[in-house]
Amino acid sequence: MHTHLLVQNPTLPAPVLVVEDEPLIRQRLQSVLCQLGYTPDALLFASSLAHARACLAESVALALVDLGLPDGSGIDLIAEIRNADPAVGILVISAWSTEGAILSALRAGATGYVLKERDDLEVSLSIRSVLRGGAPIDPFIARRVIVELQGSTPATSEGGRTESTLSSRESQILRLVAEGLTNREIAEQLFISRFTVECHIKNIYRKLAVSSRTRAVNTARARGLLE
Amino acid sequence: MTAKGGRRRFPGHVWPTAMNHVCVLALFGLLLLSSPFALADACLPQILTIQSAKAESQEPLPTGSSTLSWQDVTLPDQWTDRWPGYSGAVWYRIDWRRGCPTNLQYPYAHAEPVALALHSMVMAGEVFVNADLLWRDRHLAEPLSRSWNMPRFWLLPESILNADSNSVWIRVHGLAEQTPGLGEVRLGEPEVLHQWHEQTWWNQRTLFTMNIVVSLVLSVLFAFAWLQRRSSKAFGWYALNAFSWALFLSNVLATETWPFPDTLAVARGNLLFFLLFCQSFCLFTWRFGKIQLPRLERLLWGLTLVSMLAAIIGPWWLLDGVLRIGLVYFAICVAVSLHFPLHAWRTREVGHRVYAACLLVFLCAGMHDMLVLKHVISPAAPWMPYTALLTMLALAMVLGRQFVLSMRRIEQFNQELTESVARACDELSGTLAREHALELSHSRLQERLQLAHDLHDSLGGSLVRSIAMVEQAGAPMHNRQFLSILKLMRDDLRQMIDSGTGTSLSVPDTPQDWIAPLRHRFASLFDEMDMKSDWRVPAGWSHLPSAQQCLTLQRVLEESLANVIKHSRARCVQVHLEWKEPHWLILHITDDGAGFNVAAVQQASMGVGLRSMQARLQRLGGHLDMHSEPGKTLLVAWVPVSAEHPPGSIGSYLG
Repeated sequence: MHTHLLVQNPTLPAPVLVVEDEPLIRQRLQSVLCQLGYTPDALLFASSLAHARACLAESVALALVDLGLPDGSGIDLIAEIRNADPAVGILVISAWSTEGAILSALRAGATGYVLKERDDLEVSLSIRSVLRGGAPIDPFIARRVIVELQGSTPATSEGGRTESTLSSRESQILRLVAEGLTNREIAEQLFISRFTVECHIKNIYRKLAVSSRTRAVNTARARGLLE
Repeated sequence: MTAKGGRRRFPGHVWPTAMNHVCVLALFGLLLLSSPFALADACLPQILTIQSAKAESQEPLPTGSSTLSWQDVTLPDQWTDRWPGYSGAVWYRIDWRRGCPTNLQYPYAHAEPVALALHSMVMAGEVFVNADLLWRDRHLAEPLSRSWNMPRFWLLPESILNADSNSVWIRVHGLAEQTPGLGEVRLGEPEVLHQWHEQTWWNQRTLFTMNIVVSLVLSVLFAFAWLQRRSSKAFGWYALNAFSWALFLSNVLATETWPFPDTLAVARGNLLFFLLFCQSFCLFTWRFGKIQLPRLERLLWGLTLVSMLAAIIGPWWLLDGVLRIGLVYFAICVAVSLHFPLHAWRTREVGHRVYAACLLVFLCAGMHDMLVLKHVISPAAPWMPYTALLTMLALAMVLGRQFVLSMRRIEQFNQELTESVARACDELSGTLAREHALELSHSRLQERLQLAHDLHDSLGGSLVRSIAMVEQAGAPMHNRQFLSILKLMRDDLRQMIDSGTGTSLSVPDTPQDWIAPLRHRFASLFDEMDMKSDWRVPAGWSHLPSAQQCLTLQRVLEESLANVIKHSRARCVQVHLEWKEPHWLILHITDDGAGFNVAAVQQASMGVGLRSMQARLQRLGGHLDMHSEPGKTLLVAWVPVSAEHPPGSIGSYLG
C-alpha cells in the first residue's frame, strides 16, 4: 500500500461509525481507517441496525454503512443519520452495485458509494475523499442523475428554478463525469477548483434527495394524504 | 281495408251508387226511429201528392195557372229515369195537410209544430214552403253548390203555414251525368224528425269526417316512418293509400266545387283519387305480404297510368258509361283482397293474418251493404263506415307491431352483441394472460440459460484455469499468487455482474462511453496518488467490436492498470486506443515505472492476471505484446475486429 501518499491529518473528524455485520470486513475497514490516521478508540463498530441506532446516541462525524444488514436495510439508517445531522459524511460500503441500490442510498442522503470488493487502496481513497468534503461519483450514476433531475422537471426551467433542478454548471459537471473525467480534470477544464467541483457534486446529491422528497410529497398530495 | 269501404260505397259509376246508398240509409232511419211517444198517426202531417216538373232555373215560384207539366213521382227520385240526358232545374212539389182535426174556432191555437227534413238534393237546390223561401244554396249555376250529401232540417214557422193544405216547393239544379234528383223528404213531428236528421248526419257526414281524420293522421305517421327508412316500402304505400282515401272521401263532405272549376271536374278528380287509391292499395297489399308479382305490377301500373290520363282528358260518357273504369278497379281490388288471405294462410305470419281478416271483414261488410242496397235482405244500418275505421286501426296496429318487433330485434341484437363482445374480450384476455405467462417463463428460462452461459464463460473459465494452474505448479505457491488468482476471479465476477445488470450486453455507442467507467475509476485513483494519466480514444468505432471483445479489452485494461498501481511506482500512465488497418483494434498501456521481468511473467511465477489476459486475447484471435524495462513498460493488446459484426451483435460473446 502506498500509505506514504496519505496525508496524515491531525484533525480527523471523529468518531467514525462503521456499520458492518461481517467480522472480517470490519477488521479490514478498521485497518484501512487506522492507516488513514484514526486510533481504534475513535471508531464505533455496529453489526446490526439496532446496534447502530444505539451508537447514534452520541453524534458521529463519519459513517461507513453496509446496505445488507441482518435486521434490515442500511438505507433506512442512512436516512436517520442524515435527518439527525445534514453535515455528516456518509459513505456506503456495500457488495451491491445495482443502479437502484446506489440511487436509493444517495436519495436517502449518502455522500458517496464504494464497492466492498475494491482493493483497500480504493476504499481508503473513497473515505479520504468523503473526509475532505468531497462526494465520490460514478459515470453511470452521473448519467442516471442527469436523466432523473432534468427529465422529471422539464417545465421548471423558465418558471424559476426549483430546489431539485440542476443548474447549468451542475449539468456540465455531470456530463463530464459521464465521459469519464476525474474531478481534477473537470476542475482544470472548467477553470474552477477541485473543491468547487466536489461541492457541486454534493449539491447534486442533495438535490437528488430533495427530488425524491418532492416526489414523495407530490405523491402524498395526489393520494390525499396531505392537504 | 279502408279501400274496400270506399270501394263499396262508390263503385264504378261513383255517383249513382253513392246516392242509392244514401237513400237506403234514409229509409233505415225512418224505420228505426219510429218512437213510442210519437203522436197518433192521425195527428201527423199527411203528404197528399209529390209531383215533379222541368223548370227554368231563374223563374219565380209558379202559380196555380202556370203551364208546367207535372208528373207524379216517389222519393227518392232520379229524374234521368223520366228525362234521360236532362241537365238543368227541376221543380218538386209536395202537397200536404196538417194531420189533427183543427179547432175551427182557433185554427192555430193548439196546432202541433211541423218540421221539414231533407235527405239530400243533387246537386244544388232551393226550398220554399207555400210562397216563402226557406233555403237556397250559394250557387245555382255552374259551378254548382254540392248539397248531394247534406241533410237539412227546419222547424216550419207557424206563420207561413196554412191551416189545412200546404205545399213544399223544391227546385233542384243538377247535371244529367250526376244522377240528379231529390232524396227523402219528411214532414212531421220536430222531435222525431230531428232524431232522424241527426242519424242521417252521423251516417252521411260524421262517419266520413272521422274516416278522413283518421286516414290523414295515419298517412302522415307512416309517411314519416317511410321517409326515415325508405326501405320500408309498405309504410310508404300505406301512407299514400290512406292519403288518397282521405282525398277520395273529401268529395263526400265538400259543399262547393272548389278547388275544381265545375261539377264535372270534381267527378274527374274524384275518379283520379280513386285510381290512386286502388293502385296504392294493391301495391301496399303486395309489399306488406312480400308478394312478388313483377309482371302483374307493371301491367297494373300501365293500366293505371292510362286510366288516369283518360280520367283527365277523356269524354265523361266514355269513362262512366262505357269503360266503367271505377268498376274495373273495384273488381281488381276485390281480387287482390281475395288473394291475400290465401297468401296469409301459407305464410302463417300474425301480421298477414290480421290483415287478411280485415280484408275478409271488409268483403263481408261490403257484401252485406250491397245486399241491403239490393233489398235481398231486410234493411239494416250500413257496416262499411265502421269496418273502414276499425280496419284502419287494426292495420295501424299491425304495422306498429311490426315496428315494435323490429325494435325489439334490434335491442336483442344489441344485447347479444354486447354479450358476445364481452365473451370475446374475456377469451382474448385469457389468451393474452396465458401467452404472457408463457412468455414470462420463456424469458425467465432464457435469462437463466444466459446466466449459466455467462458464468461458464467468465468465472467458470477462470476457475478451471486457476485450478489447472495450481495443480500444475509442482511446488507450493505463494500467498500473493493465490491472492492474484482470487482477485482475478473477483474482477471477472464483478464484470459479469456489471455487464449483466447495467448496460447488459450491448456494445457502448462510442469508445469514450466504453472507457468512461474505467477511466473515471482509475484516473481518480491516479489523481489521489499524484500520478498523471493520459487517455486517448478515437471518437467513434471504425468497425464495431463484439460485446465479448469489448469486455475482454476492458479486463485487459483493468488488469494492466491494477498492476501499474500496485507494482510500478510510475509517475505517468498513458492509455491509448487506436485502429490499425485493416482490422486491428489496439490498446496501448504505457507507464514510466520500474518495469517487470517479462520472462518471469511468461513463466507463471508472477502475473497471474496478465497471463490470463494474454490467453483470453488469443482466444479472440488477438494477442498481447509486452515490453518492459526500467522507466518504460509497454503493453499492447491486439484485437481483430472485422466489419462483419453488425452493430449490437452479441453472437460471438454468447457463442
